[in-house]
Amino acid sequence: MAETINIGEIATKISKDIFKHFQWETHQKRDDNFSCSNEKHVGDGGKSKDTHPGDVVFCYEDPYLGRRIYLHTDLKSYATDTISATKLRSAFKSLCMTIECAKESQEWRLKYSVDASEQHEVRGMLFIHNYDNGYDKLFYETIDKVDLQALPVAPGSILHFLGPYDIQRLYSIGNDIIRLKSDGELPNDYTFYYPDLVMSRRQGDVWAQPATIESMTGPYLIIKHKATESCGSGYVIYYNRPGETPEEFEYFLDSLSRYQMLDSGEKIRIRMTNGNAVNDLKSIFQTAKNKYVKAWGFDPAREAILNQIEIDRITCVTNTYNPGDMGWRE
Amino acid sequence: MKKSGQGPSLYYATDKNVFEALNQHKVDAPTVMKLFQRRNIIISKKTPREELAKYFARMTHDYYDHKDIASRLGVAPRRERITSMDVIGIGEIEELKAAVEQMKNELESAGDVVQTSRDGDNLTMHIQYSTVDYKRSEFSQVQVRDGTVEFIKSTSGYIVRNTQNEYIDDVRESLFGKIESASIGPLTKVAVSLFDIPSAKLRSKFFHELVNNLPQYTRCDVTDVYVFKAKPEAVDDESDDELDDLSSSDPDTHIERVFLRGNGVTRSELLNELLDKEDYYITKIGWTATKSMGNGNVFDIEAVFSKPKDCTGFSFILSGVFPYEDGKISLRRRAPSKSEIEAISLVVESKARELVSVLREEYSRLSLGGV
Repeated sequence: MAETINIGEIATKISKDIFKHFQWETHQKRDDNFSCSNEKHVGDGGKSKDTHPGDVVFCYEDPYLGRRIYLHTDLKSYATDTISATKLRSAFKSLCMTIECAKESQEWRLKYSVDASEQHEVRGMLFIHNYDNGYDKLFYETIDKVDLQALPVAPGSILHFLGPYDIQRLYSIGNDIIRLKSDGELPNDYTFYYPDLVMSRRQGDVWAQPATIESMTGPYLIIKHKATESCGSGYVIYYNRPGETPEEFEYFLDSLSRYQMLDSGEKIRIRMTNGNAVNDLKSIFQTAKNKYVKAWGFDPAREAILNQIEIDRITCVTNTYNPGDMGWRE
Repeated sequence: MKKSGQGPSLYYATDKNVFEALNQHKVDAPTVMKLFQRRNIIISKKTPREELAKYFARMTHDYYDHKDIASRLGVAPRRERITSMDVIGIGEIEELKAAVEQMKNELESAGDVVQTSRDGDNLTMHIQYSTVDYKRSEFSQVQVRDGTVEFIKSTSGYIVRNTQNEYIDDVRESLFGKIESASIGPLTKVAVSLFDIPSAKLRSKFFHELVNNLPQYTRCDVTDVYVFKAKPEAVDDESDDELDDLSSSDPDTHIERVFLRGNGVTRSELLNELLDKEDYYITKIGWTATKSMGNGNVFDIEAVFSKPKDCTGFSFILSGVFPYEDGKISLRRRAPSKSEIEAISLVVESKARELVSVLREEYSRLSLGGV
């Protein structure tokens, strides 16, 4: 058994190593409980729950909803091959009940300094890392085995989870941001970017917007930045999909075009986050550009814009990220 | 090749498109769950669908999400009819192969997927392509379809058989162009057509004969008949005979086509009146038949001239098979097998060809006699 370390320390560590780069805030309260207010909430032994646990709470302002999202987070770590569907199911189940209570708890709001006058939403997050191997495929196979539809998620509640691979990827993105900044290719002044949609409009200032949890687990994440001495203003896009086919990129290019990012004269850099991205990535991207240009009747202006898009892989941090083991507490 | 001149083959769906798509019943709860799971999100199955759709629509989505949603909403491709023609003038198989190879490269550079296979002197080209229908919703605009062009060696040349639609017809024609430019002379193409047999009676006879006297098959029933009479040209000749049609009293009234569906349609008085007295002729027919020496399976066949006025563009389809099981004919129609399609194609093609030459003779006798 590896030496377990304090939950508070781990929370501080992941906040500094990962979430800070995505402009999330972390509440200083760690590893605390709040009272259960629902007699139907019972534990595995069939005994009513007195309290619900809370390891750490992250929060940020959702640019489309215009309200604060609080992620009541459960931190878990496990050793390779010790993860099981039963373990995961019970962790999710516990979080379901916790969130149901947290949403209606005055005590919870006081504890996590929620301004009663502000609109907010409480969601659950399960942060699960593999403390001896970093990246673990088994985790995702196990998730598939958990019948997610059968979990007691209360109507309207939302749970998020970050597994070993997601944690590794987000950590690598954080490192890439540091690297770009120190090379003068990204200014300190950057924001996550949210295009206006048809049914939802982005709210508030364009600058200083955090990454939403949805964008961090979505197909791509867009950063908008101002110019530096060596680099013009533009966008850095962290691309999380495999990049295996021209169709995939063609669709992506059409998305950027819809977001009006292609005719703004801004620099566009695509950073592939998948360490296993295919070898002929650049050729596939080139084919996608050709097809896209052809579909639009070889418009030279558009071709020129597309040809200025850079695509590269981020340097995956070779040492797998390990914030430490705190065991699997039920 | 004709290609759409505007935009990519797959359009980005807006959040509104996604919202609307996810609200449709065809997208089931597990599909929605799966879409969220791919984003590491677990939602409640008790949350109203509209709310979930709104939430998902707000997130960025990609090609794979689009594909998953589209596959739920997409249009099920239907099988298409086959058309064929006799082609004389194609030289060696090598010549044909060169043209097919060239065509394959052209189609593939435009994004199609092409497979060719050779069997002796026969050559088949299988083409997978996509079509865009802008009238449909963002999730069903693009349909991946496929079609084949087959070259089958015959005694006089080749039978060229292809899936009948604009796209594959175009492929066939440009293949002919390539063969012609590589060989010495032009190709002679003979398609089944009643263009030069303008007699309504003989045109109907073509279908009667095809249905009733198809070699190796016995007709069971005629279920669908389409009859047609072209609108008379604006300038009226002198008064024709009195039977001409009902419209002669009112030049603005003209029924161009009549569709009859049921059982024993060819025996119905209604049809016979149209054919005998009103000069309508059959342009499309659907019937069932069994193999004379077969296992009792019932074949559902349809034959049509896609251009009814001229009776050109002949094509046919074996729409389905009602298998003979446990002493009776099953009510459940299944898709036909490749060999069943092949067998029907051969007899329909050769019977149609034979009928055209018989009817042509009959027509010239008639018109000579008429003079």
